[in-house]
Amino acid sequence: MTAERIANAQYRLPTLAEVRNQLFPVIKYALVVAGGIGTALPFIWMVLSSFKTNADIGRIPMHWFPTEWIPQNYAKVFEIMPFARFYLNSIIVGVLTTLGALLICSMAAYAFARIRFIGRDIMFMLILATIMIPWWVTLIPAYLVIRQLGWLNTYQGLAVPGMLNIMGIFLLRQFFRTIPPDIEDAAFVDGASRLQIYSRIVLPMAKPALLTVGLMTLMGSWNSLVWPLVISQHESMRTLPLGLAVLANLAGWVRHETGALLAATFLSILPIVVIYMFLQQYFIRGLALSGLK
Amino acid sequence: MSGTASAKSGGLAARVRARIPETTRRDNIAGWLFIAPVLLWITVFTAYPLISSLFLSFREWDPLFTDKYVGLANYAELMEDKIFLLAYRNALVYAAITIPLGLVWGMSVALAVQHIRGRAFFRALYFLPTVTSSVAIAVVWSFAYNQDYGLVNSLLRYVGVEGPNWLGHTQWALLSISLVVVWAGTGFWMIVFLAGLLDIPQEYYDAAKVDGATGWQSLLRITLPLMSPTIFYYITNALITVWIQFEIPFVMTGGGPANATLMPALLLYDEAWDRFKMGYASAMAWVMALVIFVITALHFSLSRRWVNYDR
Repeated sequence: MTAERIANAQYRLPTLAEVRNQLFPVIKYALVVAGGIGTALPFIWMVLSSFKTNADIGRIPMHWFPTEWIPQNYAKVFEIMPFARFYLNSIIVGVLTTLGALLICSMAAYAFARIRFIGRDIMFMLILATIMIPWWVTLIPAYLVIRQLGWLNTYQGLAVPGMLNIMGIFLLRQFFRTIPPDIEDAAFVDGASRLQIYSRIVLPMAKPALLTVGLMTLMGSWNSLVWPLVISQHESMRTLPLGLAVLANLAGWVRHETGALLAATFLSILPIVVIYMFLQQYFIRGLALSGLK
Repeated sequence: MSGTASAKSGGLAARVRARIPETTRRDNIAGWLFIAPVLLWITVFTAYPLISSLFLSFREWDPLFTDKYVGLANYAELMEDKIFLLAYRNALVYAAITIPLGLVWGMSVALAVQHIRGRAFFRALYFLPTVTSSVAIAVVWSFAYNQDYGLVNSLLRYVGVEGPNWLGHTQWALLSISLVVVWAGTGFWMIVFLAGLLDIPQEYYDAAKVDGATGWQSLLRITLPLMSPTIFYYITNALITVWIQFEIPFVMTGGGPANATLMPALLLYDEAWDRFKMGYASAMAWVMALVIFVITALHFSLSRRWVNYDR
């Protein structure tokens, strides 16, 4: 029956358009998958190599999986550098920066969104305009200010300047404007002060926006290199990226510690990657809105 | 008068309106108090440094020994500084590689991923390098580029190609770094382009199909023109970040070999913190700002010819 039908069917070569229509989804999929593999491979290679001995990493041709899975690189991370200290520094600086940024940015954003005061619009424009200043221009004097304050090699020196997040002010203001003013008006009439309205009513309602801005700030602080590079001259005040960068630059001996350095790199990105996995949409929204990374 | 009357009658909105005159003064004070911390930060870490750096650029200055007014001498010296000019030449090559490649690749991936199954998964995967620190990316890639055991050359060996010493050779180093930057930025731009693509009404494509347009024609006549504001945004951003790129070359090559990957920001850092020539470095910073300003202004004025804002 089937054979008959096949025999009766009229065969012709497919037209070019048909081939294209059939092929196009396949090509699209292949492109996305290939790019996805290309994105993932360096990360996978990093994790796999961090469980290899250095001799195993150096083998030619490359073997994907460790000949023998060894955890020693992860112990060595703490021997070749004060890695725990770097971690602690990054956490302290990240938390301080984020909390400070959320406080000062949300206060300004609330004023720009809700309070009518003389000079509001011009101040808002001026503050927004400062994004356009390339930060290399202000870096040297900003460093000198910190030096003058005696804040070199301190947590406040590392954290305080990063609390200024102009994009955060902008995003929070946008969000505050979507909160219905009636709620505030009611509280106002009941005799609540501006500070009470801001802290008891507006902030609790703005949790998603605060989370977005907080994550952006935390990520910026966690990943930043240049500011710690100029502020932390003592090894004990290095943050993770700085610690890694310095070690990676000491070409001579560290190249023999490839496994340990890859393990350290993996450990250093782990917290942000884990947070990202759980709170993806906040990251993507925040960064897509902020434009300039 | 009428305000007081309606306030007595008791409507909430009316009572609020009645309070406005008394609250205006209070609002002025409250408003300025609320923005005061941010103003303090901007004054100390942006406004003062901005002016200070301009003054510094006219001086020969280091934090300990030297402080001398030299007028425009720093700028004159820069124009003859071969290393400085080389850094800008490198940045131009870097721009010529990263900007078109990042655009074409990011757009291709966004177009391809737009309607396929598993879009959310791929979007999350591509975005991973964006949340990873540049230092971590640079460390991993500097091993991945190792001539002998690196990931890149190992993969090339599968197809029978013996890869070069990517980071150690003057001919390849800048290209290698540029490719890492494109790799790291793909996910971010894919998200931005996807947002742009989703804004294009499906009816346009349906209408084009009815009229017999091929997919290729739809892409050229519908997608790209309607994506021009997004592309404009990409180019604006890219034209700024080119001149301030620091982390990737700093970690991967330190500007070498033989200054092949030296970038403006890298040189600025070296002058200011290795040689402590902070006046000279400030002049570099202002040249950088000027370059960014002029290029951005040029880009904006040219944009009127190709960016399509009406939907």
